Amino acid sequence: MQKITLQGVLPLVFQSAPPRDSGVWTRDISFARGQLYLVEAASGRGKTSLCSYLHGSRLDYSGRVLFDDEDAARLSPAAWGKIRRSSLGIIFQGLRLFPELTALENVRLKNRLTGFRDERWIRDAFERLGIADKLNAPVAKISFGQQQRVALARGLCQPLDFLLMDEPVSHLDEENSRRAGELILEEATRTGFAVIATSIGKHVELPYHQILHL
Amino acid sequence: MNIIRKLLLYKHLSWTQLTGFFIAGLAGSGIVLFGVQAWADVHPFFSPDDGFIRKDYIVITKKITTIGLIDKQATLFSPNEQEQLRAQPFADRVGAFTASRFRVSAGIEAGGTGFATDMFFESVADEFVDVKSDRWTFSAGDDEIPIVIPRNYLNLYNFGFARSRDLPRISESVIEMLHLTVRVAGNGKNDTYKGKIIGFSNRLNTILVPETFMTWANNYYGNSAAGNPARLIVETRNPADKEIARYFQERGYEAENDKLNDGSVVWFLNLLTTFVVGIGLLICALALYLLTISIYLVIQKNSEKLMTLSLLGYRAREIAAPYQALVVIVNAVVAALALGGTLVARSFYIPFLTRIWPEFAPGNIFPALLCGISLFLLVCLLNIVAVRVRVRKINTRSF
Repeated sequence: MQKITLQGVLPLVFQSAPPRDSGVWTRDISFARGQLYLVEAASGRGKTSLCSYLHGSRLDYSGRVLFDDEDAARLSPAAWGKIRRSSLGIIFQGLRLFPELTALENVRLKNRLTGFRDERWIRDAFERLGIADKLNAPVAKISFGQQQRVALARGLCQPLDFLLMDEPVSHLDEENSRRAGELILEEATRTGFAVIATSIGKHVELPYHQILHL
Repeated sequence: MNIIRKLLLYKHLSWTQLTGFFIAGLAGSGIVLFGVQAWADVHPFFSPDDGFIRKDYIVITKKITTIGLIDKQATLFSPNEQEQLRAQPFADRVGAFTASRFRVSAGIEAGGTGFATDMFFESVADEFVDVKSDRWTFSAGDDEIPIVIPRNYLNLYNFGFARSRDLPRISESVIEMLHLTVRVAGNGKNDTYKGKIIGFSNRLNTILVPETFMTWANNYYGNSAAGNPARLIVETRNPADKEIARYFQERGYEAENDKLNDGSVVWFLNLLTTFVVGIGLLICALALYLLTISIYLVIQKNSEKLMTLSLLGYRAREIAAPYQALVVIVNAVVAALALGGTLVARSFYIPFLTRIWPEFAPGNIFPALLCGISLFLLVCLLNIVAVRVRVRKINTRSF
């Protein structure tokens, strides 16, 4: 996938009073592969909704989301599965980790599906993100900040054209946020995927090509 | 350990519910398999014919009444009565017994001494004779007459007379080696034939000779014109047919042997088996329902996880697989134990039945095996489809 286009997309909940000053809602905008985007907004402006629309978990919007030239709303469950395995990754704001599994198992769960990374890469990523000592800790027992980094490692365990990140470093200190940014940038530069990150103020440090205000 | 399995099954699986299904499923399957196997073992025993399509033969006579003593025709079947009987839906074929219209005596001679007795012959069309032999033929000019006698006669001697007099018992093969001297007289002629007993009938309670001999001999030695038969044999597929009993009763016909009773036993056996197997199937269905509900409950509890897996890119079939594997394993264990239990039970009832009925010959275990495999496949299929549908439903909720 080379391009994601939004054509006049607006959450249904905003239909009665569409925001006039939004750089995303109701506009025609495109996200291209290889670019880094930051979507900034105050709380309640629909950052998570945007990620959900782009990742296909919600369809409560008007307008169209196009993957290249294909209407995302018309994709079959099987097609969505394929895109999520091979092209489109996400780091959920709520993380969606499995608390009963260890940090390593959570990452392996994704990687066994894609077979994209080897064990060494995973352990190295944990090391670089500063959570090497949490490899075998149940996710339920580690902090939210540490969980955010586990989710990031998991999000990178697949071939990517676009990586959606919904407030990925909201609970990280500056040092860990910097480390996360380094890893993401390294991978994005190496394989050429685009990053679409949302932020409420604190964002992952990347040399963004475009900053949008929701 | 497979992460998916750990994630989806072990955390929310209710072992109590699974045990409930296991016990109910085992009871249901066990009853069905045992019912089917026991029926398959016992049913042929009540079927006099070995054929795949079982046929019964009923020999009928008319009731001997006081009037019958005076009017001999009253105990015979007129051509009209025979035709009416042939036209009945329950009568597949009707045969008439032909009595000898000449004098017959038979005896055994050995070393110049012997004994002889007056007797009679009867014949019936070959298709009704339950002794199949190449020797069951006669052509004019032959000096040997093949004879079939009821097995009852031999049993009567062996188990009644010989036992009470402490005489040696005689086997069927010894009887078949005997040479009888048969004297036939009538119409001014008097000839001697060799009589040879070639077999024993369970079905026909008379001294039988081939119909070819009887036709020729009645013609050659017969003193009187051919009369109506006193006994008829009716071939029917279902002797338990109520219509038969009603028809016979209305006309005052009597069934000579207890085939009608046999039919009732078969009917009762079938009814009992249907009932038992029906109960078993009902328990199976309830067990299946219990398992399906349990699995649904686990899926429901895990719905958030299933949705996350779907969002990570897992396919519906990959998510459903651990549940499906679980039901297949549980059902396989249930089927294997039910089959094993049936075989153990069988190893008890077969010797028991053989003790009661020495001639009892059990069938093989294929009915239970086939039924077990079919039941297993059916239950698995239903469970697999149910799980797939449920998972798909949750999976599509994430879109």
